[in-house]
Amino acid sequence: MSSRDRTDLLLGGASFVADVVPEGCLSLAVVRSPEPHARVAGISAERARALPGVRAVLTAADLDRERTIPMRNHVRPHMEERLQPVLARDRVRYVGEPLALVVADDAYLAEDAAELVQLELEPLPPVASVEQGSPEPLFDGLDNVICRWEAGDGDVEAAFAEASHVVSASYRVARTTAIPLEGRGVVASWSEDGSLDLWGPTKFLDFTRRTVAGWFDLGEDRVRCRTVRVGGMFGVRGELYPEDFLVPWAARVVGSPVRWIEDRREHFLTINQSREQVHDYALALDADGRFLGFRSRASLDLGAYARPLGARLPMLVPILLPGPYRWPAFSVVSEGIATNKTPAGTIRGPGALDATLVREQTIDMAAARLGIDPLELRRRNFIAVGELPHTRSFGPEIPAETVESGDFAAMCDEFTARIGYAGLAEEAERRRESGEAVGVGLAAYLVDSAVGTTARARVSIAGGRAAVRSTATDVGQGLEALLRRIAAGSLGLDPDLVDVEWGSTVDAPPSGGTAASRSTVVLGNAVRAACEALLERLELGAGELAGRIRELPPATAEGEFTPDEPTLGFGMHAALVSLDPELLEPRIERIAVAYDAGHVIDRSSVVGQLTGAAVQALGQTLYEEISYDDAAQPLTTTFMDYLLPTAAEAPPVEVVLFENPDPGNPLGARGAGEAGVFGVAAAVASAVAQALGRAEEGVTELPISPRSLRPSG
Amino acid sequence: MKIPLTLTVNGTKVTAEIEPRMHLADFLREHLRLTATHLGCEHGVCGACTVLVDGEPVRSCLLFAVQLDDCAVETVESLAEEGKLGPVQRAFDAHDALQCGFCTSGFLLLAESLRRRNPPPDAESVRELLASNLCRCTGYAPIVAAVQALLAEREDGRS
Repeated sequence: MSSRDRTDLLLGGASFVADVVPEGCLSLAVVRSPEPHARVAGISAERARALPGVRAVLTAADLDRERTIPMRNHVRPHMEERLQPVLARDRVRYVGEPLALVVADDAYLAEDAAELVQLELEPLPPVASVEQGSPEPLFDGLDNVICRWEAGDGDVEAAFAEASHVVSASYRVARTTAIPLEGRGVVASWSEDGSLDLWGPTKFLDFTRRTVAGWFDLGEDRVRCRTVRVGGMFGVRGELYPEDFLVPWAARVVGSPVRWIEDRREHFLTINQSREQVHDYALALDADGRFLGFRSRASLDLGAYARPLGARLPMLVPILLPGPYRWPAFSVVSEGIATNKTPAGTIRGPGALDATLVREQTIDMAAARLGIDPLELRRRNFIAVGELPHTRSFGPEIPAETVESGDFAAMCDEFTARIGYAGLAEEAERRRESGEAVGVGLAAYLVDSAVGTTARARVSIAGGRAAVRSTATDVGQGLEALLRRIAAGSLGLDPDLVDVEWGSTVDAPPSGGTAASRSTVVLGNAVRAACEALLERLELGAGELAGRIRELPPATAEGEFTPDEPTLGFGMHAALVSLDPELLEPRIERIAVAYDAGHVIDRSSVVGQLTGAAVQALGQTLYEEISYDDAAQPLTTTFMDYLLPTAAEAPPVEVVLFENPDPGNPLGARGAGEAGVFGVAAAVASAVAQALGRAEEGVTELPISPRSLRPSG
Repeated sequence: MKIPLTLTVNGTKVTAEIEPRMHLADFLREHLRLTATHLGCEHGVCGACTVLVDGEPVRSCLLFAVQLDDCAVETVESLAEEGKLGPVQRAFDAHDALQCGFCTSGFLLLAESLRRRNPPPDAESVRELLASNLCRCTGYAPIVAAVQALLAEREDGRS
């Protein structure tokens, strides 16, 4: 990242959504359900309305028609019947669901008034877990299976019938979320011409704008999403949420700009949660330790409503489980189950920390039981160079993927050599012999990234400078510097002559969203195409623009890139972990990540992404858990309950980069925003299992906390 | 009910009449429009709202502004030198110690308070001292490196 992009952040002049205060702006507070499952018998707002400084109290009764949070993709049967209304009318299904809103002169008054809104709720039996027997349906006439995928390839029955060894395990993964340090917020301001300015949307600006325009019966161009700095996104922020309707609606009703800035408790109750699942997995091997097949059955707790990404989370289970190995056969049944919890969505490395744990930990259990070195067992089963391209089918409902390139065994050898894996294994063994609880663990995986729809970008020149525009967002990943570098390289200009405008839908072509580690690959290639189109329009060869840019009249060109298939990048994690044998608290002595990032455009940014992702994943591996009690009441609503890694717990992360260009896109890049997440839990679990002398039984629960490791369990 | 308050903010005397329940972070952000101070949790854990009060780092979400009568408050807005990055900011920039930049204000002031300590903390204790604030992007290593370099510079008498 060049320092010019972050000078405003360092000086304190950057404008985050909470810093946007249009003239005459009022504050909004949301009245949320304290019940996980209830009928709404009545809402009484008189006392709140009577409070001085209160401008409006609104409920679903004030809406002219029903509106819901729509799905963007991966829609499965009957999911449309499970969409969340922007305000609950007759039933609430999770603690935190919006029931009313208050607009007042400032946030203190709005919160005072919100407390005066009286809710009459008649509790219904809650569903608190995917394992709850004969649960109350959340939606009348529907069972609590939100969606289901059956995927696979080959004859799994035959594979297991002929297997010499079958290793089975049951996994439990806790509910977590991503915790950007800045909470969500929305600021809305209507103009006299009936158009709307919004500050706060960050992830899929084009989808948000289209949806908001539809809610208010406006043409899309009448809604403008404006640039704000983003205090971390990690997949959860910027999805569409009820407040994206409530704030502009309130602003229109009261006739003034309105802002809503959530507090951390609201964040825990409302932002998408992820990962929670029970997962049975079985691995079939022949006498030589060759994989014959696997069987998986996963039940994911998706919470109360379908979210914009539809059935994506359970769909990722079959996509991510095979990893870098050859499988003659596999079968996956993956279900998303409804419970009375905050709805689930994707977070950084969605499905990946969990799927990699399930596969890799079972492989390690097999290695221990067969007496094969865990590294050797993996090497034996990696897809070999001679087998490429290797097409993986998932059955009729999920598109096949093709592994085009990558010498996995060679990268594995280089990684383990670079980190001195053999020495670490010896060290761990020596220390175990002297009575310490120490282990070393490894995990390998294939990172599936840069998916989604077409990205478009615009490049123009004027006044001796070039400008790049798109609706993508810089969320701290260094998008601005990256696009500047790509444009400067493609146009043959000094990067200081390139301006990058991001995060606004004003006069910018749709980027297809900032998600799925796609910005470098998908948007980057769109920028490159736009640059080439511009040079063609100007009839200039590469290298000729720099000398002539000052004298040329303004010119503009657009470019696009469509990701036909994800970039598939090989990666590994390794960890050296010790535990106090009595306290059972894992201490990460070393952690390393290797990733084939393809052509690396900005090295420090890739290293920063891998490092930060690994530490985030370490939190989800060791500490983080959103708990609910048996009545589906959330128990985790502050940073005192939800423990995040600090500088004291976070180890330095060793990063090894491979740079084998991806053959599927002109830049040769692969997505790098999430790879650092993938193998953390698996490598740590493996190390902990070895340290505690239970490699054959494995460590099968996240987080790997002292509580989960105690023999009574 | 409003209460009169007189304090110094970034070297300038400020007088105001405010509600006793307004916390210092909101006073800085909403009343004085000094928005470099960020709120990450409002319950005193994340440290994004760290400011200096009489030279010591405090959580501005945990103090009521009216408690600061006659105190001197310093925020990130005071760290620049003639509109350009000051020493702490330069160290963070040089070490890539920020990604999204939201926690950065709190870490900058925490680092500034360590830089002024006499004697300065040793390099080993820096990691523990920085554990009072949360960062969700960097994994902390570059922040620790930036602060260690800053303290080493001070040892060398360069800043």
